[in-house]
Amino acid sequence: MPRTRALGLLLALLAGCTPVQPWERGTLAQPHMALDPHPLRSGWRTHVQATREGAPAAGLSEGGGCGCY
Amino acid sequence: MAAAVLLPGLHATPVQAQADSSVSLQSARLHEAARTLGNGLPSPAGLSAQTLSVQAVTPLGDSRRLLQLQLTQDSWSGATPVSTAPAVAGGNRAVQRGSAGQLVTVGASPMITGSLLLDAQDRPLRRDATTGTLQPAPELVHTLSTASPETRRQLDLKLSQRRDDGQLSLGGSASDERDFRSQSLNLARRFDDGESSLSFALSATRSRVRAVLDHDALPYITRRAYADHITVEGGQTLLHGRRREASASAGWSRALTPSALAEATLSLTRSSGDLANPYKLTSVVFAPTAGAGADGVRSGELRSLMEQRPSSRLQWNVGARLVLHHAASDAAWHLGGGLFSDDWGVRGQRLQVEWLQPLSPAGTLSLLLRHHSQHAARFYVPWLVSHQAYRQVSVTPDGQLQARDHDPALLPAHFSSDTRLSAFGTLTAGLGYTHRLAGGATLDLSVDRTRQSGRLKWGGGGEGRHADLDHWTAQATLNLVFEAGAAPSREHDHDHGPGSAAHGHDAAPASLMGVHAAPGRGRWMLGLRQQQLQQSGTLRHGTQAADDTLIAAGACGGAPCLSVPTAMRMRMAMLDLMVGLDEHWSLMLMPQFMDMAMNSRLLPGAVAGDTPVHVGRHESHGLGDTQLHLLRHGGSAALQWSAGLGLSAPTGRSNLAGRRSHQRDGAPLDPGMQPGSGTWDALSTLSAWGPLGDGARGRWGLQASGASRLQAANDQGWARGWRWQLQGWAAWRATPALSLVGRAGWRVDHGVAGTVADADSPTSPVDLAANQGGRLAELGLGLNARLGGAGQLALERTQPLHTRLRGWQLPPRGGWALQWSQAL
Repeated sequence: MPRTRALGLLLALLAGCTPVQPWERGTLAQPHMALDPHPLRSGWRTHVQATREGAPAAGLSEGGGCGCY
Repeated sequence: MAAAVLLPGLHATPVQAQADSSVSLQSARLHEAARTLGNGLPSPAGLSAQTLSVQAVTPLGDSRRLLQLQLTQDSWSGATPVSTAPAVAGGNRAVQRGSAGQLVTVGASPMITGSLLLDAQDRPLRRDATTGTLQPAPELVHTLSTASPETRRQLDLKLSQRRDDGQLSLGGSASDERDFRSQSLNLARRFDDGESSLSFALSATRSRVRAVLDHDALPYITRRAYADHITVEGGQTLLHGRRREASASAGWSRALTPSALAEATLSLTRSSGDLANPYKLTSVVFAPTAGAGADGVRSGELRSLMEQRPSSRLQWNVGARLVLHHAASDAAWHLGGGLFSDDWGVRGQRLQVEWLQPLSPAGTLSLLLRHHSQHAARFYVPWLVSHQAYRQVSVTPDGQLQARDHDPALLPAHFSSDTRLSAFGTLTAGLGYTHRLAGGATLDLSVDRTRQSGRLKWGGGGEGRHADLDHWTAQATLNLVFEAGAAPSREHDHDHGPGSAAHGHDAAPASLMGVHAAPGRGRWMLGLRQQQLQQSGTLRHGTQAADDTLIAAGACGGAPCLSVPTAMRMRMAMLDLMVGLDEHWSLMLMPQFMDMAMNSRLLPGAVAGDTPVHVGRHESHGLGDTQLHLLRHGGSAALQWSAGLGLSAPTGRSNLAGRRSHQRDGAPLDPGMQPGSGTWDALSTLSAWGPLGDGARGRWGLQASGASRLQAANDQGWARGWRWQLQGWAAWRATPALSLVGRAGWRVDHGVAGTVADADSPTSPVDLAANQGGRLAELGLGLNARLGGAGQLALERTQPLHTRLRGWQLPPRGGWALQWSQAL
């Protein structure tokens, strides 16, 4: 049930959004507002999590394998 | 404004929201805390891993095509669990030293077989030392084994084509380590409609397992289930396996409001093949009920079986991210979460909150909190009880002894005690700081601390305390961004320094150091050098090849050799940091990371026995010695020169030893396998270079360099001998950006002086100092490319022409050198 509520909240949020014009994107253009401001830092964290946890790495699949530790 | 355009809905992933060319250097470290063994036993050092990574993004032709290249190197060593067992079974035995009556426990050694008592409900029992009564003993403990050092390398390539409606990417990667090789291909397509971005990706991975089973543990491991996968080669027992993986994913991102971004991803992964971990065992207590007493108490035999996992796995993963701007503080909240599940029964969720706060126009602080929780795989068990004997011996009617092994059908089809498949939660706290430097460079630092525990699992029911684990990670990334069509830093031409209309370094071979014009007061140059040297073939004495009979009789200083090296490989990754003190002087700092590998075989008729012998593959790695050079530059357009004096500090270890085996501590590795020298050394270089003819097409160069040791011996009793080299090269400029470089070199290496630790009882030629060094004449052929904005990339293949080796050694086979440098 909590998962259903979260999904419903997300859909409601999406239903309320309106197009953001290019001249309104100044705040979004700041480096710390990027979806992934530190790709290599995130990549390292994901690599460590994938070697320690039973879950697959999050995000778009890019392949590659590692026997790892 | 360029970045504002490159947001979800218009163009590009966040990586390409940066400018078109970039180079990133990353150094990262993971360190696990030592685990608790109980019984007062000291724990071996936890797993430690060092990662070095270089990523370059560059446009190809027009700016709509981008090439991304990433080279990653992981090196790790330390103790990890091989199995779990009731503590009362004594899976970790004390290693003691000292004389009788004064023994001191100095370590622990794994014991994967044993015996214990069970009650009628299969629960372990302990006999109370005072009362003699049996008490419940439910405690579990990991059986730890120290892994041999190992290094993995991965190369990732991705070609992206920007299209009017988005982007198409094709990529591949190859990962190589001693026991695991993997290749993958991936295809991704992104569609941008002006408001949202929709992405799809497919990937396929193929992997090969070639695991070397520990020769110490081998007699005690039950591996019947893998009999068809095991071979014996060169004195080593190998487990072979293959895996395949196919993955599909989709992603959606959108700017929700002028201050909010959202992203959602979904991925499905199917794995098949040999999915078990070849180094993980499951403790099985074989305790037939027939032998139980009236109270149901019986003795059980503990055995370790190689784990058995299903041959397929289907995983799905859903994730979402929300980025919200906090106007009052100009901070950004990054909220993320996800759900995952697979057909093994592993399922769970993760939640992450990160707060990014700009402290100044240049610096941003970030704080991270992440929680992960998972259920255990259906076949996960810390240990098992089987109501049958491991092996029954009976007497046939004709008086013969007959042994009957246990019935595998009475065991579960699948079982694993790998705690990564258990039920647990993790809590991570992280701190990061990013600072924008001058000239488009960014330095990113972060440190994370993670606690893994069954008590952190949502809903409880997680694994016991024996599996608790702490680890910390840290990383540092330097990112240089070059905006398309612009110089990377201030207006920069190559006219600086006296008469320096041309640099020497754009025509210098990749394998040489110190061939630079002065960068100018306060100016920096950053460089990265990768070098690999190999030796292989038949052992030689001087210039003569030697057969096994000669080697056995003479290569170990009078003692009979038992093994001989068949291949050796040295890899070095060196960072060059140069700063101009003024127009004539510069300072250069060069830290380096080393990794070495050696393969050896037993000589015919030799038996390893109880003596540790170099057999199979051994690896070592670590920070090497660090060099500091002071350089004086001078000359004119017709002739430029640089002279340098340097110091090499012994920051690398020279005391690495092999892992414990045959119930003996590992022997110190030979000097060729040590990352450092253990001594302070003096270095000198003298370089000269100039144009050939009018300089439009050709350049020449000469260099003399030397290294001498300032100490007679390191703490281990040996020191590398002095070394000097003479190099000459010529470069032909094929195009304005590309040069072909040919080099000839002569090197004299005085090997090693002093006494190496195994000199008293050598079993291999590498154990003797007399079998190091020699003279070498070599050729090099390379390609140098000028990059945009005072950057340079050089590649060289080196080939020995003539060698005269000291003592008995493998002949050199040459190697590769790759050098990148960038003026900032």
